[in-house]
Amino acid sequence: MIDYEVTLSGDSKRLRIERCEGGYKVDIDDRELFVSWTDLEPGHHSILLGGRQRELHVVQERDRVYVHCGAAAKEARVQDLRQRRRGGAAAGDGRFEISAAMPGKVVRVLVEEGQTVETGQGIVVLEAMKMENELGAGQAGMVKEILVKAGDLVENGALLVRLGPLEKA
Amino acid sequence: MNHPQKPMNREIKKILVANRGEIAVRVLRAAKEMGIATVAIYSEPDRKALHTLLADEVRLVGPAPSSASYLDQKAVLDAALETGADAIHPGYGFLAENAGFATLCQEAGIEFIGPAPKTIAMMGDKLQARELARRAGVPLVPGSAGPVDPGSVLEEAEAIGFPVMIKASAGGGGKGMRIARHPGELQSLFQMARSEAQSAFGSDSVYLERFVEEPRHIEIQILADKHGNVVHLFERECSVQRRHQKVIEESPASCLEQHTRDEMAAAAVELARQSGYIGAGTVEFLFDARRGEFYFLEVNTRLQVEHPVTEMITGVDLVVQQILVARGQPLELRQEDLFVRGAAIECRIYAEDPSRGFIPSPGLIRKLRFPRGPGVRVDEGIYEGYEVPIHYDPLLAKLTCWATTRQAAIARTRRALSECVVAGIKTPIEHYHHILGSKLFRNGGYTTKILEQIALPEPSEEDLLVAAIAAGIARLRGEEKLSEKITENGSGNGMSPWKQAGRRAVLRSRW
Repeated sequence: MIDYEVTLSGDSKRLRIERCEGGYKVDIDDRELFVSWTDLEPGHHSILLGGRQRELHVVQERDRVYVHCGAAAKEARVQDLRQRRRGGAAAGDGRFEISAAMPGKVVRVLVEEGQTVETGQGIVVLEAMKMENELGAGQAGMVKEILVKAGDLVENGALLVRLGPLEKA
Repeated sequence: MNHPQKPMNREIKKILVANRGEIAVRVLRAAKEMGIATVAIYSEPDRKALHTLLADEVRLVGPAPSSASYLDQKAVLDAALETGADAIHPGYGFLAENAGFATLCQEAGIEFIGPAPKTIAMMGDKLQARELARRAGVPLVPGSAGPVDPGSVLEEAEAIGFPVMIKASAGGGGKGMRIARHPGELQSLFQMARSEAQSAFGSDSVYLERFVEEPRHIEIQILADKHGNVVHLFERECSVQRRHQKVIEESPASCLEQHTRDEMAAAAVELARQSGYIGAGTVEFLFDARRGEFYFLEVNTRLQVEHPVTEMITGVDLVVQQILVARGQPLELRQEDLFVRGAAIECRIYAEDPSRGFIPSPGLIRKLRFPRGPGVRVDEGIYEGYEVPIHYDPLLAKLTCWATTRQAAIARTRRALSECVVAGIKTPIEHYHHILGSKLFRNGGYTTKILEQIALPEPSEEDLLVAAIAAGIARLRGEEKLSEKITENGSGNGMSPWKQAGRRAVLRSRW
């Protein structure tokens, strides 16, 4: 039996999942549901839930789980609550980090270390597929560290610039 | 350099496809079906691209940037000469509308599958194309005959009708362009446009054009041979656009009066005749639904991305026709034999994320299943396990569905989208499913504003519940699999499952 917190479209739900005969028992939103689970091939499954069949394609990447069902594709963040209690998921404050929203090439870095920036101010311009995208600051702060330079190729999610809180004068 | 005369019947035994992605695959498929040998070109990262895998011969033309590979005219031409290709199909984009490249091909004795270089050049020049359209009697957006001055601007604007667009004669890129909605603001906007034009282009000459608000984008497919025969293959409606890029197209156009349709087609055919057009082409029009009038926009001297909808409703293979025309064969199609059968809709599957402003989403395709079933066609440039590179256009595939009526085609497209899985990267599949289900789209007669008028899909409670449960179970199973691997090999010794798997592999290879 494991407790997870699943975040989908900005909404978090707690799930308690337990394996049982033919599938899983899931506690969610104060309801107990039985999910019949059939594997088709790796990442390809069929579930029965409340009499309805659903075909699923599932891709996992670190704490992200991508669930494709019909035309819908959902991105879920799954956290193991045991690990979180143990402090296993002590992630940094994402608001102070500017990460690549897509894989691409760094076209320009618009700030310098030590500079103060405002919320939404452009920090880095990334290019992919013939399109340029400006990544902005999630909140006001001071540029602590710049980890990339123009011309660098970066992976999706790569940390580009680290901000720090504004120093009080 | 000699200029060989085009023989009326020339052999095409081997075609080099000067493109990549789904359109290269499309052309390769047609060539194969005609028994023609194929050559693909590829850039360094495209060694594993689908088009590179489907050709008989392949030639590397350069590194990742298009400018150094697919757009390197000499490299492309050398590839054709080295492989002994007798024709080059340019697809769309890249060198497809490059008159200089078409001329180089001609000089090298290689058939460029498309119109003559001078036609490409003429259509590429906005003012020349407009002049040609005027001579052919094709309606143009009403505007001033030439540049306007401060004394005449109000009179001219009132003759055209507000709102009017003030445009720089030497213009481009939105510079020196202003929209005046009322006579009261005309003078000041006119002055602003003039000074902007002066600083941007070194000339303060501006002219007026009627501003068409919420137009519909309708285009006519034409096909002409080297013997003066021209036919049209009806229209396509391409009003579902974002940032001037088409995303969903259909044929026939929804809600278009028959006489308008006929007039547009006749205008396009006349334009093709007067310009001595050869091959497949598209005449684009803006349709002002409020006034019931259409205006010439431009001519695309190539195959369009959205050509499959025309193929589905007419049964004509446009790429095969292009090749037959290039061979010098007269068109076997006669206008009276062509008719519209049913309705077709195309959805462009891009690698992009609609929930985050359509930002590109290149990356590894970890799961892929294209829909099948009656009336479903897929033109693709990808496969499962393929990594979509960051260097090129984000178009991955096109899903085109045909049915006997427009409503049935909508239902079929939605069904097909619900069976289409592209996992590992983001695509607008869910977004399209939502758009096609909207009242605005189903009713037809929508304008280029449609995407702004439809909100992003709101997931249903049940969809969210299923996704949350599936994500949780998938995670649990992932962890179980890891711990099984650890216990399988005894206590685990604190070793990571990866190390253990590696050790097992080593042990196996020893045995």
